[in-house]
Amino acid sequence: MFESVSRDRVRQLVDEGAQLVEVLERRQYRLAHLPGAVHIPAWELTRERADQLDRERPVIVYCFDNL
Amino acid sequence: MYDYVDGKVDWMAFGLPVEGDDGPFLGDRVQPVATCDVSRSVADARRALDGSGEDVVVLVAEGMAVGEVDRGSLEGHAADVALLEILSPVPSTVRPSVTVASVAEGGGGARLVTSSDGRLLGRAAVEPGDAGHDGHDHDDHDDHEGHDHGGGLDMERYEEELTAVTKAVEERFGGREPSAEELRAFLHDRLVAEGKSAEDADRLLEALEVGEPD
Repeated sequence: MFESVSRDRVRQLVDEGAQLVEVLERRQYRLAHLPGAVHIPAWELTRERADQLDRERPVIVYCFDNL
Repeated sequence: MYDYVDGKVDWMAFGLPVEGDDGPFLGDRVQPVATCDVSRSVADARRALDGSGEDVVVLVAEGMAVGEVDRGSLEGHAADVALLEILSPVPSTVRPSVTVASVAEGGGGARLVTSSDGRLLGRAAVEPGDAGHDGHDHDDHDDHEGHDHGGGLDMERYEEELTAVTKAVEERFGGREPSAEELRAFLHDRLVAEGKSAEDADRLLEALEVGEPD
C-alpha cells in the first residue's frame, strides 16, 4: 500500500503536486514541518481525516525518522 | 500513497526549508566557503582563497570536508607542496537543523555546516546575542514539561522517547491498533508510573493531543 521514497523522490513528487502529511503530534508539527505539509496525527489517520485530502493527488506521509 | 521513511530529521539534516515556529536554523544562514580538493597543491588553494576573499580554505574530498588551511600556512609553503602535507583537521561541524538560538547561547561563532552524510554545505555565522528569531514568532503556550525550549528541536531525546513509547504500546496491545481512548489511558498510566502526577499526565497528554481531535 505504501511505497517508501527517498528525500529526492519526495521533492520530485511535491514538485508534481503531491500532498505532504506529517503524522507527529501537533507540537512537533508547529515547531517545524515540511513546506506545505498538513497535519494529521498518526492516531487520527481515520477515513474521515483522510477524506480531507485531495484524492486526485499523491499523498506522502512522514514521521520523525526511520525508527 | 508514499512513505518518506527517513522523515523530518533527514529533511532538516540536509538543510532543506521547513515551516513552523522553531528556527531560524543554521541552514538558513549558510554562506559559501572557499574550497579546494584535498588532492591539490598549495597553489590551487591560494587561487581558491584569492577568488573568495576569505582567510581559510576548506579542503574537500568528494564533497566531504576533510581539513582546512589558512592563508598564513599557505604563505609559508612552496606552491607545489601537496595540501595533504599541511592541512589541519577540519573543526567539528554542525547540522543545518541546529537552531541559531542554540549556537548563540553557546557563545556564537562561525561553524562549518554539513549534511548528515558529511557533505559540506558552507559556513554559518552567529553572534553571541543573536536571538535568532528572524521574524519567527515563537509560541510557548503548549510547551510541555522537560522540553529544552530555545535550544531547538531536541531530536535525540525525542527519538529515544518515541522509540520507547512505541515499543511499550506494541507490547501492551500485541500489534493491535489501540483506540484513542485505550492509547490515552495506557499512556496516562505509564506517565503516572514514571512519577508524574495524574494532573501532570493529563496536561501532557492534552498538549500532545492524544485521543483528541486536531
